[in-house]
Amino acid sequence: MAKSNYAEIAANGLWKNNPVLVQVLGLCPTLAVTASIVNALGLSIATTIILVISNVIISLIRKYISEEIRIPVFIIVIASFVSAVALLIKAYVPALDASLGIFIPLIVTNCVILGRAEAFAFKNSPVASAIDGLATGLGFLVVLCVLGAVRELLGSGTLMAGMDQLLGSWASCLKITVISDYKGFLLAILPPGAFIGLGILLAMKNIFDQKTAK
Amino acid sequence: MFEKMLKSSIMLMLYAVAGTGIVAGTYIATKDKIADNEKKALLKTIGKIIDGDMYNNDISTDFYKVKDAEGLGTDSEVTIYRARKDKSDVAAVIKTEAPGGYGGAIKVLIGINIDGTISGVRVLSHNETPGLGTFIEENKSYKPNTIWIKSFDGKSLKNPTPDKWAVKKDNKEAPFDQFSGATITPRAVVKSVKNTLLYFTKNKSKIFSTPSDKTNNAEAK
Repeated sequence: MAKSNYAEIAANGLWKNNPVLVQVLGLCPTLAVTASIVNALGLSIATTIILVISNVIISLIRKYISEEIRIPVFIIVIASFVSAVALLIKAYVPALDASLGIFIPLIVTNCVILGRAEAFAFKNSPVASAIDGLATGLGFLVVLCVLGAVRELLGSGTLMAGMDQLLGSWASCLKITVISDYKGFLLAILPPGAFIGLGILLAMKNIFDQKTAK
Repeated sequence: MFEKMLKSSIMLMLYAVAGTGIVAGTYIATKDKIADNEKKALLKTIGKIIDGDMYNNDISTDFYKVKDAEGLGTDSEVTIYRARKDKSDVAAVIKTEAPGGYGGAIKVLIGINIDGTISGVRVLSHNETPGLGTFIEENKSYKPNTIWIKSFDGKSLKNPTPDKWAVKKDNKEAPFDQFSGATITPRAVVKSVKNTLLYFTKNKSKIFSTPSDKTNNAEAK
């Protein structure tokens, strides 16, 4: 496959066919963990790792999966690796496990991963699948972090608070208090804030696409 | 047709075995580390409410569990850790649940010195409304320089007397504040701490003499 093709795969995952903004997939984690940047980042990194692993594995074994049983096989591959990654997070990043709790095992049900397995990895080479997984994962990551930043800023007046949970104690200095002595805007942290924020992001993406299409 | 079905089933089974193998392998490789992390997290929380110099036993294995204990006010399993120094009893750390929070039960860890004073209380997990009930956490302050959960420090059933163990909204002479917009949450925690203190006073000798849960120790390792 030519280099330009890889670039196109990357562009698709990141922007043109962004999993959240265009495919509108994986909304459960998108809405649930974006109350702060650190949670959004933690979950999307874990999701990206799973996406790459599952895409590569499924692409490698695609010739040994018959058409009829492909969906259960995808689920087995995804579920096994999510469980393994969840255990690894519990063992090596316990603080992240404490803050993301049940959302990590729930990556299994993130339809972005099954979607990429079915739509891409099952039909393409391992390298292309890896790039697709990475690009889709990063596209997911960027949207979650933007949503997380907006909600954290409006909801608690800070940015990147609690980053030490993810990156170790040095990272607590990354916290930016944008508005000191902020009383907090509850709606932004609660689930409705996630829906409203995501709606605005979707609208902005559509406006941008229409403007550039002209 | 039949042959194809059989082939698919066998393939699916092989994938399932391989997948289970991966999870089992990771579990075996990480289980010591995870148990160690859980122990460290527990010791860290206990360390916040009981000074490490006060005891020298292995508090993470010196515990027992009770269920449906009378007077504790919860039907969930309660874990009681014992802090001892050179065989003499120093304090008990009780992991219990405060029912009746706004978002379900609130898990709390309550440290009680042998003389019946509270050495500290910490909330382990809860599901309260962010920005309202969450002021029961130790890193959030509901008014400048005041951590609500620390208002229990040094309190006992003599100070205040049991009838004054309440939030100010329910009893003007009570020492515990409620938060604006959230009274249910602090009320539930105050009640649970009070019940635990009453239970501790009543069952003190039993708390320190009950042998440790051997089976659970083996599991924890």
